[in-house]
Amino acid sequence: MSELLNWLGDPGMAAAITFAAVFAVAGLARWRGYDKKVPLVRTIADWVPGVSPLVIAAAALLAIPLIAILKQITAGEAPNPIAAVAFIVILSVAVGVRILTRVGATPARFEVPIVGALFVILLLMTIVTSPAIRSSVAGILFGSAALIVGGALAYMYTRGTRRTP
Amino acid sequence: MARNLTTRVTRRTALRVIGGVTAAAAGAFAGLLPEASLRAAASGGFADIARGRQFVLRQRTGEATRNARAATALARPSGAIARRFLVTHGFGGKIQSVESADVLWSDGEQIGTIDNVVFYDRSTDRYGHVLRQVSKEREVVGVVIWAGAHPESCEVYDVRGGSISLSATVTRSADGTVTVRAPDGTTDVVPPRSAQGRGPGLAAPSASGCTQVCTWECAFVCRWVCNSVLIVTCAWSVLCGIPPLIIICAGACIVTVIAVCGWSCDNYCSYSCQLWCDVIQESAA
Repeated sequence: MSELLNWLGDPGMAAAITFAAVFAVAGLARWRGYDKKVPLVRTIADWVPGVSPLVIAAAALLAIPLIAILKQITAGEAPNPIAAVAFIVILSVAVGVRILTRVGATPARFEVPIVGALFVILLLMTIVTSPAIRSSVAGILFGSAALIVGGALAYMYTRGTRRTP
Repeated sequence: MARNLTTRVTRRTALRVIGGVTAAAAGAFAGLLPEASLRAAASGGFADIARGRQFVLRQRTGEATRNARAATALARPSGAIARRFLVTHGFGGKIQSVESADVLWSDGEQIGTIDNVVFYDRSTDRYGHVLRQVSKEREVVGVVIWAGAHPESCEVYDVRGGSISLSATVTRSADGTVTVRAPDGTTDVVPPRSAQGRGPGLAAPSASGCTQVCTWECAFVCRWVCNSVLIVTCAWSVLCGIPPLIIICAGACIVTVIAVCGWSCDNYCSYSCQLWCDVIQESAA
């Protein structure tokens, strides 16, 4: 029982489970049609255009073992101040882009390419700054993800981002 | 080069390094000392520290891994000597717990491994640890015995040349000073860490709950914001084409976002919370 509480008390697990629960509720509400009455639920269900909130919920649950593995791989690794500052800058720009897009200040077609590029930079930064991740299978996973998302970014760019959802 | 180093090390220096590292490792596992003490204990002998690299202790949390490493540690000749020594001192029961860690330089290069196999004598409320350190060049096996009523003091034994002998008695004072007393009566005193010399470390214990509370709240909020902002990237999964693949691509992308957000938030929150909590503690002192 205490082990379960410790496990649930971990911020990574708590955030992933909360994330899954919120999107699962939004997905069920959309499925049953309740989201039409509740704007907040509708906003959550529409968070990623073209991707069902139930997929987000399922992926959040699937990410839990990966979080546990990453935690084990990087246990004891000293925090990297450069990565910490770079992450906050990247995240701030991504939040800014999303807010500006929501208020209509920037064209919606730029949102996914810009946030995607920031995500690729974040992936590469993680690989570069974490020796434990770099020397493990997680490094291959993150490297592959950076390659795929980077490739998709280039593909979308060459197509003029016309088909960005 | 290695031979030259070996011949230059005096018995007293060797005793100091082995006793200090063993005590620091025991202390780190027991939560008494932060990992920075490992650097302090060994800083006299490792040129790599002067090049700016730091020790990193990566704890192995998998039960199967730890049990396998404990079995290996006790099955090796030096480990078997240590185990027999503990049996003769009343630690005949089962293994109480196992702590295992890989020791790395901060750039990822492996230094070695540390395994700590703990036995408990219920009748006398004493703990016996078999500590095995393996580096590329050597294996060091030690035994640490301490009483549950006096965890601040322990006896460190060293297995060498097929026999085991008392290496040092290590006592930690309330102010953090560690006294290493050799069997011949000579004493080394390791001063407590200064606030300025404190190195970063995810496992560094805090004097108050500030770091823990700050890290928890920061990591939770950070993960939520990061996940919800970056997951929009996964809208690109439509590039996968046919419907079943879209779901798989979206799922894989979201899993990756959550994982990378998790690492970044842990890194950011550990660093910033330690920084701010240290500032708060120093200003409060």
